[in-house]
Amino acid sequence: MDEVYLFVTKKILFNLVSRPVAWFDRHIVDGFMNLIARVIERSAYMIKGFQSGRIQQYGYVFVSGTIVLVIIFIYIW
Amino acid sequence: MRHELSLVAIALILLVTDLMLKPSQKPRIIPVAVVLFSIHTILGFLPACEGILFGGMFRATALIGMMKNVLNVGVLIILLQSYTWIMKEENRDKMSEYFILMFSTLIGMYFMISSGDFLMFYLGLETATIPMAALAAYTHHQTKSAEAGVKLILSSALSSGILLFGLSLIYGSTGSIYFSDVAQLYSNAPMQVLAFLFFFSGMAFKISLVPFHLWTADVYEGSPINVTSYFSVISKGAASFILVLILYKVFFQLVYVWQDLLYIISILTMVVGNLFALRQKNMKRFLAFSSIAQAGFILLGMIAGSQMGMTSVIYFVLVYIFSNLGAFGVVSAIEASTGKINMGDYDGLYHTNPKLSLLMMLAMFSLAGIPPVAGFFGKFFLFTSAASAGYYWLVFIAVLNATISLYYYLMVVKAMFINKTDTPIAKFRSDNMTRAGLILSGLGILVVGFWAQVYEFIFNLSVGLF
Amino acid sequence: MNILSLFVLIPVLTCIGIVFTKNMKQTRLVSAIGMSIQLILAGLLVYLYLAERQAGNMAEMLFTYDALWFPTLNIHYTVGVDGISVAMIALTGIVVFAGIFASWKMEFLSREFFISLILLATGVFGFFISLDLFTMFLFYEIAVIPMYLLIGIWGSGPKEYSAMKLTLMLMGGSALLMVGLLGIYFYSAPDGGQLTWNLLEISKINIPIEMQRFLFPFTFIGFGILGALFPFHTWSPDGHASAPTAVSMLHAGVLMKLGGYGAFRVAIFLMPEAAQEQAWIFLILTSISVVYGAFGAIWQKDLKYINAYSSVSHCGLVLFAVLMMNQTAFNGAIIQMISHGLMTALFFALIGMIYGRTHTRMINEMGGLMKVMPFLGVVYVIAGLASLGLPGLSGFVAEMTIFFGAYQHTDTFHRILTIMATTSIVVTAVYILRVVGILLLGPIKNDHFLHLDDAKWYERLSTITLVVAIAAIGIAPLWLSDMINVSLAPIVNKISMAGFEFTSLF
Repeated sequence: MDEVYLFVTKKILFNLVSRPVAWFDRHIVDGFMNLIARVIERSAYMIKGFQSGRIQQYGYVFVSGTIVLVIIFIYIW
Repeated sequence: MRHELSLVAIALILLVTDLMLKPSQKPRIIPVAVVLFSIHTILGFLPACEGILFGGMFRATALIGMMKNVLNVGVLIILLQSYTWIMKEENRDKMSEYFILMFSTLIGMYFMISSGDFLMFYLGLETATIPMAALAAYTHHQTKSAEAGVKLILSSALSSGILLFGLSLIYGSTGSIYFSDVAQLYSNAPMQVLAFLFFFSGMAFKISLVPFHLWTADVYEGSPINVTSYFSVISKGAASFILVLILYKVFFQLVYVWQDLLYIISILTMVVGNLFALRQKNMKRFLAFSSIAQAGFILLGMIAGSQMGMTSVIYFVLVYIFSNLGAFGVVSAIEASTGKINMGDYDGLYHTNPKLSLLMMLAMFSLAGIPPVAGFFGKFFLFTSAASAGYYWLVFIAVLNATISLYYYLMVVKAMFINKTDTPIAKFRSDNMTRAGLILSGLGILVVGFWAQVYEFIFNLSVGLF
Repeated sequence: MNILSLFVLIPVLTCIGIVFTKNMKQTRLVSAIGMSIQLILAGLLVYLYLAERQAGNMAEMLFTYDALWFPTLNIHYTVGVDGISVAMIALTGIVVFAGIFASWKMEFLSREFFISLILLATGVFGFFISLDLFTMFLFYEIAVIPMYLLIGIWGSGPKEYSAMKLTLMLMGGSALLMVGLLGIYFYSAPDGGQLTWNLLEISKINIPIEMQRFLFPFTFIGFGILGALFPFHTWSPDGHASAPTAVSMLHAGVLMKLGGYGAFRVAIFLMPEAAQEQAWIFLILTSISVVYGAFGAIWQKDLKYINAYSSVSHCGLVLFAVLMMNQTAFNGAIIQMISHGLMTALFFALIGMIYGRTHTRMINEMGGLMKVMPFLGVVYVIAGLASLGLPGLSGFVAEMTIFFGAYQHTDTFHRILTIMATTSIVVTAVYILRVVGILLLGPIKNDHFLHLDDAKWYERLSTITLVVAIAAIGIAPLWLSDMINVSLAPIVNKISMAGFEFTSLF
């Protein structure tokens, strides 16, 4: 009887169910939450180039931003 | 007209006084300026005389008076907070210029807010911008400051060009530059939409909305810190006021266009502002980008197109003035006494300067919109007005962005309260003027939210608009 | 002065008092006095409430007070309590009181610690007395934000990471909540009357069903995140493990109950039709929470992690019961909130005390503690037995009621989920008994443990308060469930009026 009990708890309950659940929680569920944070952080690095410090580029972005808005609101919308 | 006249008088008095002072007596100009401006601020709260001047070019209503008062309060706090910095040896020979330039830009903003036609609007706008470039380059012996001035003047020349182009199209298509006429004659004909978009991008430049914001970071970083706080609070607030007035009064026929426009721009602004702010280590740049993200939130109030929207915008700007100036005040006090400006320098600040750290924490919480400080109420009412127009998803995106912004605001709190270091900023005592400025902003952060009368007062003033 | 407003006023005054204290001894004395008054007041409130009901006052909310705050948005400061909130307030009073004594030896920045802790309690008390959705939300956020400092400054382990994660996830939850509440507000007067934030007034109208479908998930998940709804529970293990003792107690004990209470009071009560339609999704999620939390707990080595996962399981049971939407299940949910609040607070208090002596929380490094600290050992066993639902203690009453309620649904879907959820009881027994076995019995693994002392008077006070409350509920559950049942009537009424038959979906 003791062996059966030990088999059920140790082998099945602990190793086959509980361990994967704990792993899943740490790595998949929690990992997903951390992934969101990571993605936000990564994209913060990716858009770094826009802020170059060169005034010409700022001018281009300004004008093209206006043009894009015009295209959206006059032609598409 | 009372606001404008008394401010012009103050600027002139300062100019004359400055001529009569010997070089060694120059610092006396500071108390004179502060006292005169305080009187001016208090007088501003007297019941306003409403009316129209110059054949409709200039109008004054109680609401517009309130907007000017809000700006006055902010400027007063900035004046108090800049004391330590302005007393530095390098600024000795140009003290009065600081005040005169600042008051000139403020006069420009007054006229801009009070304008009844596009000509006066443009005059006010330029009067506000050009001295601002001089202010940015105030410490011109520093390369960065000079660079900031040049960048500001060049990019605002470009934006003014586009804005003027828009105004000329408006005149061309309606035959009038008076707000009341234009409002009657406007429709959603393509050329008029085009004109409106040009006008909008000019304004978006002033409020530094994405993608018209690129000048902000460089100019904010290069300018002296008190000028930066002036840009990020007063200049942005004034531009938001006039934008909301013009959207509601002049372009209400285009409401479906500008609601969609604000929807897109506000999401862009919040997201990009936040993403940039996330990785800033320099406090000035950090506050610059966070103030871009804050501008995105202001648009949420505008989008409602109602009395509630107008109220929430003005109220938020008031709250934002107190919270941002609280943050800037601390940064400025620390920079003036120790020269340190990076977030890493703030490690362990609470153990050496607890009061400054507490104020900074309140300011950060207020900017992030955490109760019970004023920022919560400001943000909540902005979201309420956006939701009142049915923009639930926009509210959702905005609150998520507020959560992201909480991350970097908490980073500052973490530096001050949690991080440990062997070389914290030493304990120092600010002078009384600076302390008065800090206390004023701290009081504002604590009181304005709970004190419902402030909101109600603004709301009742906004009635006349509709 | 309205008695309910005192629940917010006293903590605030205590905080102000703490500001003027000079050293740790004074600080903790002031906190203890303040929170003792608060506890007495909570007891008084229970008595007054029962007396009113005895006298035949059948109003939905008692001791109401109403003051207009922002007239244009119709925001009021409205307070009032029914049996459910009275029970929650009593729970909060007990846990906060115990928490103060559990952190009696807090030396590092003690003023700041107690101020933050009591501020957190202010938020919780304020939340439970509010009837106005705006003030409710305000207090909700006040309760969440001090957690950052409490964990970040006084925590242990990866405290900065945990604090940030917890704060951001909970604030993300309030983002969802904000949308839900704003939506409720703008649809609170479908006939074009005055919009309102007042819970009771909104409950009298029916929010249009299309809006309910949209708003219910926002509101429910928004509160659910604080109630550790799967898969948004991951802030809980890290947060609890890093937090200092009193903070874990307060957070698992009462703060997580804000989630369950809110989901019940706001989401289900105001939007019953959508709740019934969408219940199946959330029932699946909560059943996962229940089972998954229990299994997750088995594998943990750290005492605090075990308890954190067990909280996920037990709080999942609260949400599970709330979604069953009948009187018995609701009743069980409330009792479970109180029972779990007391017992998890007790657990965390004990873990803190054991950790303070052994300097480890890893179960495999400990053993035989019963011999060296018999008092703490016995209390730990009591807490464990309550947690696994032994009759005579509070856990049993709560879980029985919940499963009775859940089993009233006769369709297969509910039956399967109920049976799944009941298995968690067995699993709970496994990990609780295993921990008790390793931790308290068996050989002493470290000689250094032989010289450890047993609980001090303040620790005894803290734990005995909680044990007494647990036993009281277990032995005489009827007065509590009567108190709750009376107040459930209007809620059940509204839900049954929604007239949507759940079984028709399957």
